[in-house]
Amino acid sequence: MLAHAADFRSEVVKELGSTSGPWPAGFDAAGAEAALLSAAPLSFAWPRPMDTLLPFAIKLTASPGAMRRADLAPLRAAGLGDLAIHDAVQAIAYFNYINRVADGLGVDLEPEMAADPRDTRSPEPAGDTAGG
Amino acid sequence: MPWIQNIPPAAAEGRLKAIFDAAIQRAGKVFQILQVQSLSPRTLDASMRLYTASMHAPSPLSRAQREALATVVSRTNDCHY
Repeated sequence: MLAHAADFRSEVVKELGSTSGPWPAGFDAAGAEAALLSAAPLSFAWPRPMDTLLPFAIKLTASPGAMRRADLAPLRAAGLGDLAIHDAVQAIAYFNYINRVADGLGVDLEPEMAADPRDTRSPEPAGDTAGG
Repeated sequence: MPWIQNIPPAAAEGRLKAIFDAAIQRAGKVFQILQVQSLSPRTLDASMRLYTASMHAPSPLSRAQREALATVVSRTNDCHY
C-alpha cells in the first residue's frame, strides 16, 4: 500500500503538470492520497472515471465471486472502453496477486516505510530464522 | 526478516543477478518485494514482466490512475507494504 501511495503521489503531480492528464484543474492530490490510505477511500470527491473505478476495484478485491456483468455499466457510463476496463482489471488483479506474495512470505518493509501499526511479525520467534 | 530465505543482491548469481542489476539500473536499489521472490528467478522475472505490462505500458488509463487502483487494492487487502 505505502509503495504505491508514493507512486500515485509522484505520478499525479506529473499528470497535473501536463495538458492531457485525466485530472481536473485544482485536483487535490494530497487529499486523494490521504483518502486512498484511509479506511474510507470513497469518502473523497473522486473525479470521473475514478469515482467508478475505485468502488469496482474494492468489490473485485473484497468479493470477487459477487461480480456481475452489471458491475461494468458504471465504468462504461464514465466513458471507459473495453481496453480501459481490461487494463483496470489487470492492474487490480496484479496487486491482489503481489499482495499475497508479500503477505504470504513476510516481505520486509523498505527503510523509508512507516512501521505497520498492526504488525504481528515481530518479535521473531526463536528458531524461525527462515534459513536466512 | 522475511519468513523464507532471500538471496540478497550481493550474493545473486546468473539470471537472478541480471534481474537485480537491471532493477538497480532502473530504481537505484532492489526493492524487498523483488528480494522476497529471489529463490525463483523464473517466477520473479515473470512477475516483473506482468507488473511492467499492467502498470507501466501504454494504456487508456494513466499511470496515476493505475497507481490509485494499486493503492486501494492493497488497502482493501490490508497489505501494508
